[in-house]
Amino acid sequence: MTAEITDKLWEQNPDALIAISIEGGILHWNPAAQAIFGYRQDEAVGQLMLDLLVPKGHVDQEKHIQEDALHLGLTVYESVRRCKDGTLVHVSVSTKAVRDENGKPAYFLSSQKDVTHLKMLRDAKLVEARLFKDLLETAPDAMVIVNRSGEMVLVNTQAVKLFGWSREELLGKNIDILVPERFRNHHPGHRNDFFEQPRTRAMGAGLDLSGLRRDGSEFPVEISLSPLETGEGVFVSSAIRDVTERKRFEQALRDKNIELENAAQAKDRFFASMSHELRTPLNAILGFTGTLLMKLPGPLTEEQDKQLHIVQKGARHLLSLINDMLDLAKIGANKLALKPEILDCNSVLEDVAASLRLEAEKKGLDFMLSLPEHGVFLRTDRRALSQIMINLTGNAIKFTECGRVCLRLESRMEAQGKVVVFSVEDSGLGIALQDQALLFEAFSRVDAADRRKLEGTGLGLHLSRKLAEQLGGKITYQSEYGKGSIFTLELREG
Amino acid sequence: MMTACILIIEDDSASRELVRYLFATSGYATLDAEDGSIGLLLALQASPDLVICDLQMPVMNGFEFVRRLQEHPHWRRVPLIAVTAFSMVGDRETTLAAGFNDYITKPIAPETFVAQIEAFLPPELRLGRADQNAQEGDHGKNTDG
Repeated sequence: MTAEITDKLWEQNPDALIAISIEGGILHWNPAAQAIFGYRQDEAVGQLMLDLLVPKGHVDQEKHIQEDALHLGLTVYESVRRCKDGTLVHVSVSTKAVRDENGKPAYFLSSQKDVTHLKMLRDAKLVEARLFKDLLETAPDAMVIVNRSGEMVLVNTQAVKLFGWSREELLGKNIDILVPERFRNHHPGHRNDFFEQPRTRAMGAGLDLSGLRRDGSEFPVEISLSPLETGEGVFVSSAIRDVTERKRFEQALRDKNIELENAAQAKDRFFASMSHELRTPLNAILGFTGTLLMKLPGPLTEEQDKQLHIVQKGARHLLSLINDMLDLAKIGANKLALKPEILDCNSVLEDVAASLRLEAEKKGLDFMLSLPEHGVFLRTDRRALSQIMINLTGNAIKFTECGRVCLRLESRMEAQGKVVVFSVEDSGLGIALQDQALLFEAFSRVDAADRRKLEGTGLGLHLSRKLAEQLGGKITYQSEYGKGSIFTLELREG
Repeated sequence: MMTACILIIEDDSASRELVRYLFATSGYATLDAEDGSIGLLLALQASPDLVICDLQMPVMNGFEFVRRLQEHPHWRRVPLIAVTAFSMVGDRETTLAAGFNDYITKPIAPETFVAQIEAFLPPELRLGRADQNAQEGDHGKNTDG
């Protein structure tokens, strides 16, 4: 090797090259040493290496290493150096003891590479690993990280507790030891599928998965898998949750639901038989009252006729109570069958008016029906609509002693579509302010003082409002005590 | 002309008597049975012109009665009318699907009941009430508040 190349190697070497005497004095100092540590050759030569470059805390370590170099001939280590401007650099050091022809150590040749940046990257990785480990420990679920072939590379304490194996026993073992035997055949296949398309997902969605403890017992689990990409390839991170408790709750909830359903069915059956049992005797009462009033068995005295009419009225009242109660029960049980059809609202109101006009006129009331000239059509349930309007109109007639009852139909367009407005206006008692809150409650007929004069089930308005809700509409009213009331049913198209 | 015969199958004696009385006073011959099994014997052996049948009865209910009747080779296929105190969702549809020609709920309206049923008899067997009373009567509509 020519002297020129030797000089080049010395001059151009990117690492600091320093020749140090056995006593520790700097003998030679290449340009890279100047570039890294900041001292010129003339500033460095003659100084003790320990004084010039080694921070206080590292002096002892450095001394030991030099002794090692002396004994072993070569040491390779990492350390810290203090530069001229006071900054610290991390260096990777190789120090060799150079011997003379007698084999006696003559001086040290030390190559010192600046690894500050690499060290930072490595530190970052260490911190990351540390943080990741901490993160795993703070996760609520058992976490197990496996490699491509299924060996566990990292497990958290929760996993240790959950499966009953120690951390050391788990690490390096195949994850299959945590899987009940009957699922093991499929497990590697599923794992391969996951690696084919690694993305975060629930494992075996919809399936009942089980975990296997060290003692052989099984427990229901829910597992979520996520890929973990590293420089060394893809790992799977699985979060495993023991769902024993949740399964228990779900079962309890299911049991409760069945119980409730049974109770609801029992209630339905009760209402069905109540309907049957109450109607059966009423059939005979109303039937034979009817045959007597039809005078089929023979003539009646005036008093007999009057009393039989009272019986008939009472029995019909009882029947309407039963019907209202059944309708309420059906609504409560969601069993009210609505049959929406396109209805001519004019004709519905005409039918209502026809069935109640006589009653109003018997009381001497003016009974008016105000319908628009054009037909008003709406898709809704005929029976429910008729029942609401009969209830509202019947009430108006009942609570009006003199004056009038007016049944009105209007329709208007709004942004959301057509609104059909049915209203019943009367010139009756009106409803006192303090009574208005109770108006739609069951059996809360207002104005108790007049009770003997009035009849009704106390269910009519309550039922009407529920029926209106079933039709997607609402009932509102305006009333002033002594001046009459207006009850309005609004139904919307669609 | 033969008087038409109406078979009444009904377990509630008061209701049975009411229907029997209404048809008897209208001039019809009546037969009655207190459950479906007796009704089945009478329907097959006494050849009634129309059968009125309750649905909920002991021993054999109305549905079982109509099923067995229709399976029987000697059945003459006269009108079958269900009269029942059931009135829950779908009862009417179920009853008609079972083979009844009509479904009338209790309580019946005595003023119109005979006319309603007569409409199912062939015209030559009707005793005349059908036209007279078809428009009349109060069905006990709920008008209370």
